[in-house]
Amino acid sequence: MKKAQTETIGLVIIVSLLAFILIFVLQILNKPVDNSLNDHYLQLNADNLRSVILKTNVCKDVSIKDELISCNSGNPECPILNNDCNNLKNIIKPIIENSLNINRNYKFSAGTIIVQKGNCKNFYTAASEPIPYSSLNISLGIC
Amino acid sequence: MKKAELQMQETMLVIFIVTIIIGIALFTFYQIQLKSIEKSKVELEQSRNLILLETLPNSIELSYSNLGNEQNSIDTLKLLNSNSLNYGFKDISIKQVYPEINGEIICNKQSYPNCNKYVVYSKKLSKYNSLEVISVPVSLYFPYTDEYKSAVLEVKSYS
Repeated sequence: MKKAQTETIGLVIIVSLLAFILIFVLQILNKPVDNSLNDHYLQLNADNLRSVILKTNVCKDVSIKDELISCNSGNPECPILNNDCNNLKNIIKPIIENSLNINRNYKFSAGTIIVQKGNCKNFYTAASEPIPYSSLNISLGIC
Repeated sequence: MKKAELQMQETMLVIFIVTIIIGIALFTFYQIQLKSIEKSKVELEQSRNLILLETLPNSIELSYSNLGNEQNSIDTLKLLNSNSLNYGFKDISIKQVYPEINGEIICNKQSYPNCNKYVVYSKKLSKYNSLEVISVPVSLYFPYTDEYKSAVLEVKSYS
């Protein structure tokens, strides 16, 4: 074998080695990021927050859920609302914003009462809670 | 210099360079493995904290139940007398968010119910490398007034 041929084979081996290393590095760098833990955390936040909002008392013996149902039929019960159901937004908003430690957009809707921050396409939506004897649809989404 | 000596030097140079390339590759591989293990450790800790956030509000030591039915809320009287299990180096607390109370008032038998922070568990590390804080909304039940209030269950994990 001539000297030139030997050197060419050596060069080919080195280039192959480098190509192999490059493929290995690129494979590691392009590994898809696993977001399942974060998704699960957001879903947990959405589910708990919906439940907490509806359970919280606005006044004695009246929860936000009761008041939303009353507002849906146009008869708010709590004197704190001054007969205006829009004042319920001022109660729901701080609960949501103080409960979420993450700076995320959200949308809470219950009939005509809508409390939202920003706009987004993909929501982590909390499971809806059925309200007996009511057409009220309560939903909460975090995105 | 003879031709044989020159070739010998060339061979030694090639071996030297190849050794360096293999050394760099091994070092890089070691670093990547180390990072991967660190990442797995953080993910495992996050997963453990998340499980704790999910299970703690429903644990029999804290949850409020009426006639055997779980009410999906935390009994504040149980919080005042909580004897938690060992959760490792963590701070677990519950802070009331609605109705808001100005300042931070730790809840105990004297300040209850005019307070806003319940310390469920506290075991701090004096020196730590990382601190992870996660929280979820929870509902607090006040048996004396039969009221529900909004709160946040927060877990601070030291490592």
